[in-house]
Amino acid sequence: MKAPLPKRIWQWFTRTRVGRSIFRVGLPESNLERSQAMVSSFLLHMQPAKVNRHSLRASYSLGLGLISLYLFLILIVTGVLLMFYYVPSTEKAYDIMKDLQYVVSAGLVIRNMHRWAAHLMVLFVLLHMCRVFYTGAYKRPREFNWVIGVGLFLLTLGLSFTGYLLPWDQLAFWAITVGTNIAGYAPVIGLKLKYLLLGGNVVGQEALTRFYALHVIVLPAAALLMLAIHLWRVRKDGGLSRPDEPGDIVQQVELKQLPTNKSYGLMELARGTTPQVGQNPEDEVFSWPHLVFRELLLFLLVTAVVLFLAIFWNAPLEELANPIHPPNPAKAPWYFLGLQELVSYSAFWGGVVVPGLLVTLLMLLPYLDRQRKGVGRWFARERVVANTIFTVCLVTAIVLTIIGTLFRGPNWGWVVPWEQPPAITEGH
Amino acid sequence: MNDLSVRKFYGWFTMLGLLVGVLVVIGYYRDEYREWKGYQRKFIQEEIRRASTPQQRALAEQTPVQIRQILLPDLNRVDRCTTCHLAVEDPSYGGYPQPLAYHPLHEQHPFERFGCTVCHRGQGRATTTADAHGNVPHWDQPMASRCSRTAVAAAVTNSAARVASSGRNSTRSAPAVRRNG
Repeated sequence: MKAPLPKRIWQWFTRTRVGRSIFRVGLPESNLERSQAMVSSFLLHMQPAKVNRHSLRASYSLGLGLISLYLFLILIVTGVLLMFYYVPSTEKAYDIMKDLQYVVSAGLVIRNMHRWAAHLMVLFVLLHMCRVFYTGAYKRPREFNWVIGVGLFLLTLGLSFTGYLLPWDQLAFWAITVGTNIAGYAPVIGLKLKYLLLGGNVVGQEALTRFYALHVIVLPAAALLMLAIHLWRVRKDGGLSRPDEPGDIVQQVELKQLPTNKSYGLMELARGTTPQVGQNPEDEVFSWPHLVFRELLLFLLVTAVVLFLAIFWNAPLEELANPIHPPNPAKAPWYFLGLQELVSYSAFWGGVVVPGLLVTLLMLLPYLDRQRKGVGRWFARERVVANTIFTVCLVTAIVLTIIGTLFRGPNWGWVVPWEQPPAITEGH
Repeated sequence: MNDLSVRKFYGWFTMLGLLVGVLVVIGYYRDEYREWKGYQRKFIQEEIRRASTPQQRALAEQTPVQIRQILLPDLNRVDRCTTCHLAVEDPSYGGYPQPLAYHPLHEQHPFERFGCTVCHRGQGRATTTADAHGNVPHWDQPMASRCSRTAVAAAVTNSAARVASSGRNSTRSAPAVRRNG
């Protein structure tokens, strides 16, 4: 049967001198070429030439980590485009938001994409973390990668929080005022930390400059570095977690027990869970096309969803920031509204102890939970206690966030969403 | 899974590729075909219709479709009202429906010195009717189509004082109206 036109064009191009110099391997036809395609490409070599069938199951990973990565890429691209216009000045920032909306070509849709992708990234990184927990994927040998993942989650929150201030509207100003006030409740260092973040005691030009620098340089660079380590370790730990890892069996074999009539290369000293060790070839398929094409399809899907949201829903932009007219209630960004709800009961316990304890527990989790069973399966019976504790914490956080978002009105009093009055701006 | 053909992915790639393509086209359409461009094209058609000489017609045809704005740094304003209200300075458009109506007595408060929103309020940077007229959430100065004389006088006096004290004038990024012959 004749190949489709795009394939024929691609085959022709990769056979030309220019095409061969760029791609080295044409459209793979044999198993050797499928391996070469992965190994000889900069972007593809980060992934193995062959991948375990279990890793390809959408029902296992749900693609949540990859979706988070794609959202991060969309944020980098749209963020750089926004940087061409944005000026971190309290005099100009808000006007530039208006200009993006009304006169800059594609300015509105790019800003919308950035905003919605940022919210989605917070959501999907959290969901990815839940997936890793419920499948026990943080257990040995992936303990430290979980810790890096928690760090990436905190960086995601930091990126979103610092970006929240940049439009310099009422929403931005008061959300950051509330958010940094929560940071100020920490004992001993709280006020110093708040002062360090804001460059003063209140949100102003210094805060905008600092948040901008953190948002476009410091936090993205840290996130990229940690992301690189995160992905590297996924590869080095034998890909995604799966049940009954053969690597564990290999680790039990000591080198001195191996036959001595063979000379060993360095690869024999590598850890037992490297992708090459102890894996049944029958369980593996070539990454090209099975993994690469699925990844590309997911990228198209994520792009389509973000574009759809950006075209039909505008990012919020309220009135110009006004330090003497606080809205009532002033609310933090949605992902901190659970914290704000807790703070409304007790500033110290809600703003410091509970979040501090949660982050510490999350970081230490793989070292506290030493049970080796139940890896690579959703809601494994062996992990019922751990799953129950995690679910209770998660549901509590979600309920608190929903209360803070929908059920809190003026003076943080109770309201029902369908009867909620608009936020009152004092002084009007 | 053992099937190494990429053929099974074609349907998904086609569907998602088309979806992204359609969304890009919709995004481009909404960005490119803005409300104010329609008003400017109507104005240009009207100018062409009214042209009495070939030179006037050629001049009208060459009128660019572009954002027109009055920059008022001393008043900390950018008024883009003339992007749609192109004939505010042309008495021959007296009696035309908005947005092509003439603004009477504008010589007393020249647009290039005072802009529009000083007296009329609304949202000067906006380029859609609803947003520019300020009838939208999060804009607390909806447009006053007919200001009272005292309100105008107070606004103009206040603005004139600021302009006079700074000794600077506004700049116009593009002529609000291209005059015929």
